[in-house]
Amino acid sequence: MGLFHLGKMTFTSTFKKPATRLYPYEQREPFERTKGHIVCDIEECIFCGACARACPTSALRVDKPDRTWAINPFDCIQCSSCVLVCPKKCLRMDNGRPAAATTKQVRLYHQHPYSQAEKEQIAKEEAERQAKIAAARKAAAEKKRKAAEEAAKKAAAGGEATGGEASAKGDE
Amino acid sequence: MGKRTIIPFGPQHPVLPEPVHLDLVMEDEKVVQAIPRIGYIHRGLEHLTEKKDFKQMVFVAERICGICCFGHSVGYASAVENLMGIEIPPRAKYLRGIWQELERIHSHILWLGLLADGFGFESLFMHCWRLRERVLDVLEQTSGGRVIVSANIVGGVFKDIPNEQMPGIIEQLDSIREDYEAISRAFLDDQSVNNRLREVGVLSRQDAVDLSCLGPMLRASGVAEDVRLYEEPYATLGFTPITSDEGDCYARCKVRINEVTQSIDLIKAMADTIPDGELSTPLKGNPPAGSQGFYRVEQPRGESFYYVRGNGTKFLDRMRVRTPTSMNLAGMTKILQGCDLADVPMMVLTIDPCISCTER
Amino acid sequence: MANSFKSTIVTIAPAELHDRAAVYKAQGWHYVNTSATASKGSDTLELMVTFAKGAVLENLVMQVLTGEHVTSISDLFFAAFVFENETHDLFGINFDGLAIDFKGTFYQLSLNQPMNPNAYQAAAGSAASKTDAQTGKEA
Repeated sequence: MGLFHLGKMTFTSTFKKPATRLYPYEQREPFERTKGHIVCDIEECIFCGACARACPTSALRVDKPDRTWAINPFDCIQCSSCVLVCPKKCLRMDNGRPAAATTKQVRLYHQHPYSQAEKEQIAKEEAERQAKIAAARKAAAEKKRKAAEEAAKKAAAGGEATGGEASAKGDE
Repeated sequence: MGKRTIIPFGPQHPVLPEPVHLDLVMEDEKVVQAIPRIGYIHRGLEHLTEKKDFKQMVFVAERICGICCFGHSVGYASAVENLMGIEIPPRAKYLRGIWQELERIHSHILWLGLLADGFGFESLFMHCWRLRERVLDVLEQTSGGRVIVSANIVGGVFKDIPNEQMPGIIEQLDSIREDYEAISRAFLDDQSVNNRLREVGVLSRQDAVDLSCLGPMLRASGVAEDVRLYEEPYATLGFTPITSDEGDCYARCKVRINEVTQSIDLIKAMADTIPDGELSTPLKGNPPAGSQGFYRVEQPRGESFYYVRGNGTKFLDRMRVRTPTSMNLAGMTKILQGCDLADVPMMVLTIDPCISCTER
Repeated sequence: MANSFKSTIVTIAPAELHDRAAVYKAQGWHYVNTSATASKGSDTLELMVTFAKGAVLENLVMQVLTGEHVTSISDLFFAAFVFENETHDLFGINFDGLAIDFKGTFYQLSLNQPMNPNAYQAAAGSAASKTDAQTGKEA
């Protein structure tokens, strides 16, 4: 029979519920392995930067001195290269689809955030340390200069000819 | 002799699946000559080897096309493995084979829907694509992505399908097969579909070989040529390429329909015999200077050829992808000569054009 | 090997291409690919034409200069016109006797011969070609 082969399917479709879903009121549960977005366990991160070098789209930015790890989710292609190369295994692919947004944003993770008082304390201690180093250097330079003067005086008392040369050298 | 006019067809046309432009030289209602023109979506992906290193290029190769993506990543990764002399573990070969066959199923069902839309049978188009959603669910459950699977790396795969998950997948494919049988009856037996497809665009066996046609277009003209015969999981499992003798649009449709059921059988055979083991071989170093690698893959549309060349650094010297539609364009211009204007969409759809692959 | 392909590479002179292609056609080989490769630091391009029969691939490789004329094989293998036009647009190798000749308008590109570093380094004065030449030398 050459007509209406879809008869059975069309007839049963009339009584079944529609194949479409009333999104966004009804949302489908994502599968376990769906490629969604990258999540970073920031406490384990050592900021080596291997993930940023492996990323094909340069969506990751790792800043070691600032201890931040940032991802631009709009550049990410969910390829899992970063998950594969991480030495501490602190990255994973989560299965929730990234939400739509009206502007492009960057997701930033910051490790051990210091409070303002802690930051000032650290800065003060650092300044003190630098001052000590500078003072020690200055003292060492002073000592060296005095030793050089003593040696020059001895050399001057030693002879006229060498003294003349020494003073010419000293002028230079 | 009738009056000659030239009708420009494409790149934007409701019935065209891909942006190809044809200048149809018409005499009354018959096409005398067709001059193709492409170049609308040339992105210069082969030039990206200067900026992305050879491990990142797998993901670029995957995004050459939106339908045959996994095949491109298999081809590129295998060509680099050939270049560096790496042998991938057997489990990785079977997993690659399973995903390749799933991709063939979804690509052919997509094409069947577009063919139905091409001759105006929109409800059949919707039925096909509704069925395809279930195939995409299987792909998502196994790998995480509906179309862009992202499972290949140079050296193997990094995602696994655990053996406990296999029976569930086979069950889903069996239920897809039942509905698929009903849809394929509509294509093969329905009177109106037959009127549009039979005796249209006949390509003889000699012409198909002379014009270097590939894939289902070649097999529908009677030549049993399939690159999968030489590829690893398929060569052990043993299968016969599906051919047909008439060489018209109906034969090409029949070949693709039967390839879907053959793919479901191949997936079952691979799931039954998949060996356990590692998923990938570790890589050492960069591609050596002056080395070359070749590979051929049977994509849903035909044979794809991959060539890579290394120069000692982590950036490849050259990556070349030769896709099947670039060769089938010559066959298309031949079958367009002498056809009716109303048959032109059928001819263009019957080569299963994938112009994003052609132009990269 | 992941598959049982055998691929051999045969180096020839550009003038022999058409005759060898005729031999392959007579023996029933099918045509696979024409493409060119540019290497940094070399001023010749390597043109490669590939044929296949069953599981065996044979590649004919020849060194050509930018702008050199090579006889096209699209009279023997009609499908070659796509790749020869593309190689002409991207690398600047001229093919004589093309079945359908687009004369440089196959792809509408904003740079001439973008994959051939010798050609656009030679275009002096443009900032884009200068930076590309630098990265080409560094990589």
